[in-house]
Amino acid sequence: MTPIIEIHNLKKRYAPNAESREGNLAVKGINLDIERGEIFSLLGPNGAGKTTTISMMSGLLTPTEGDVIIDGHSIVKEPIEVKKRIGVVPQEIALYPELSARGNLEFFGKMYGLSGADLARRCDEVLEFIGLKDRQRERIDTFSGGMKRRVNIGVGLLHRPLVVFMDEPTVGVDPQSRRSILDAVKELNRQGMTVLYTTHYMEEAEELSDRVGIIDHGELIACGKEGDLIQQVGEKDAILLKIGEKAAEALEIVRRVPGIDSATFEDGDDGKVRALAGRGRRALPAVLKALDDSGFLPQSIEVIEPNLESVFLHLTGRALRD
Amino acid sequence: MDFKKFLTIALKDIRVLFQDRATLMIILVAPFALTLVLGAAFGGISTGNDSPIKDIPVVVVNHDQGAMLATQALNFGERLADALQHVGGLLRVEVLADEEQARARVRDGRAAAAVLIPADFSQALNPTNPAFGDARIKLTLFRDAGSAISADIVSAVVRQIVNGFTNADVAIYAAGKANANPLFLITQASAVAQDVATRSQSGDAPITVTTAQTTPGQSGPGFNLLAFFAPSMAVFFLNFAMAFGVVTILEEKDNGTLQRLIVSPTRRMTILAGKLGGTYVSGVIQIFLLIVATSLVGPLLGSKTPIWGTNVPALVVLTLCVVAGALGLGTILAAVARTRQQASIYASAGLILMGIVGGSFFASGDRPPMGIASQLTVNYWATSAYARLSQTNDLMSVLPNMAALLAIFIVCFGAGVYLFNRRLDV
Repeated sequence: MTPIIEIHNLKKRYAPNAESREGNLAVKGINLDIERGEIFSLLGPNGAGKTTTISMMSGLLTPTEGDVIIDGHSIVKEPIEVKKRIGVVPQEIALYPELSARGNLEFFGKMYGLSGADLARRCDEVLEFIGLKDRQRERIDTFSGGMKRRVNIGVGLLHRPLVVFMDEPTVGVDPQSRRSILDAVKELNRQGMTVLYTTHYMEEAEELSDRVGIIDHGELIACGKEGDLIQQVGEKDAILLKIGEKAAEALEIVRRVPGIDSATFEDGDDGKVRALAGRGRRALPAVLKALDDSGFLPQSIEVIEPNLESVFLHLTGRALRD
Repeated sequence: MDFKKFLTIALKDIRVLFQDRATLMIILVAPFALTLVLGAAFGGISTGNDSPIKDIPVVVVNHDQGAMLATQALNFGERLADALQHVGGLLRVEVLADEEQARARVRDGRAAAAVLIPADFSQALNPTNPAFGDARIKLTLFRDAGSAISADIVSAVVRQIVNGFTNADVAIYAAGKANANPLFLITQASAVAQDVATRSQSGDAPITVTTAQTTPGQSGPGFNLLAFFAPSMAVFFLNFAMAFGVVTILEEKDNGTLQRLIVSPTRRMTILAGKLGGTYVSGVIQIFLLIVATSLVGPLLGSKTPIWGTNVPALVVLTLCVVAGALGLGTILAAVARTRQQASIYASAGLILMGIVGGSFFASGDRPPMGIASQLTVNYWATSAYARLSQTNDLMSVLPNMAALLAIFIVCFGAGVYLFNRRLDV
């Protein structure tokens, strides 16, 4: 099946300025396909190029090079056709504070070509979905941050887009609202919408995504299912054991346990042993038995399975939040 | 361009503008209040011309047939007209042949007075005339009742000149007699002068200046301070409303709503047209509300004539041109700025300066108060157009002003839209 989104060698160089004579190459040639009906997360730290990529895909910025084909239409050659098919939920709240929730929905609905009874019905549906039907006539500037975020999302869904771009929708949001947003994303996907979700929170990407693309310094450095990415970089489970005294002796014991690939002291902590294993949970009982047989009782035990954070760390040498 | 979307954007902006109390204070309450305060502060909101005490327009109709003084042909009527011309720039004299045309000028308010010199003016002043001293000639001064002080000045000058003629004649008469009898000058000249003085004081002088004037309220309206301040303040604050209306484009960019509009299936020109169209319509509504408000209040404050004139269609057409000029100005002021704060600063400073240079705060009639600089402002062209239209009620009389305003719109708006379109690549 043809992907719903095809990104071909997408690049963006910003105009020269005082800091960069040639202009900053913010996106360095991204090639990516996104399948119809999937949730695809674009994971990367701040400044990686996520927002610039989404901006080019939505027609907000003109690509320096390359193209984006959405549902068979080019953003460069047929921007209006593309925009009819996409919804955008920007990172910042983009609403008219002087208008009510319903007023904002009606206004932007008209910008997407909705009118009359269809617009009214769609506004009712979206207000129901975002849980603000009882506050629809109140001005946006009277809403809490979380409520504004919900309306912000609602505006992007009004015209029933095939694809919705959500640019870090949970930044600065309280945990409860964050939970609501993540649940809403899953519900939209259940209804058949393709979602391109950018975030720098690994947990969100892990929870939501069918596939993840890792972006750093404008380049897509990895792309695939979470498990495949972890396997690709060869990350192993880590077993952390706080031993205390005679930790060197305990380290030698752990190294000899079958299933343990390697063991070292944890960085900066000689009383803590870090053991790597292909399957940490399987190797753990053998490790504990070996230590127990030698008279060691660990003060704490932790099994850390590899995740996207460790994939990013492996690929870039930096943590996602650095 | 998608007209429905254009209308949606424009109507949204108009609704938001007129729902904002702070904005309404600036665009409606402030100009209305300032009009009343300034009009009252400058003493007499209703008629009474007297701001320019120079170049007072006077028309002279000289029917004088002249007279022969010895071998000299003299025309005192011409001398009177000439003397009026050389009163140190006080009067601006035009000589006409037709008396009715002269009276019409006064009625229209284009002249403060008409000096009507009779046919036997020189004969009456001819000291060789056997009837000298017995002739009684009336020189008529037809005054504009709506320009009391100017007419008084003209009257005073005419009387002084005529008195001078009379006194000179007495001297010539006396000298003539003296030629025949050297003692006459000593014994009789003073008696003759006394006789002329007595007759002048009793109204029995050889030349008397009689006055007639236009019917108050039916003459040219003279100068109405409310008719100056109402449009000048309206235009001054209109410029601000237009500039800040255009600045909302930068505000939307800061808020992210401009970006939302751009990622919708709406062409950028439609977005820009909607924003600017909404601002334009807001300006038209603003002006018309001020026209209605000041028109209702004007008579209560003693304005004897409609301060905006009575030609409503002409007023509508002129207003559309005025708002266009103001929008053009606002567009370029906002477009040269990179940020909303910068735009606000440029607009405020620029528009206050233009208000001063364009004469929004002091009446100067039709003359640009600061020459070429004034003619570069919307304030000058708009305020003088409204003032002239209120007097003439003739759209043709303000065609040059409308042309200037539309020229400002085309140049400034075109440049501003070009700059904004480039800025929409957010």
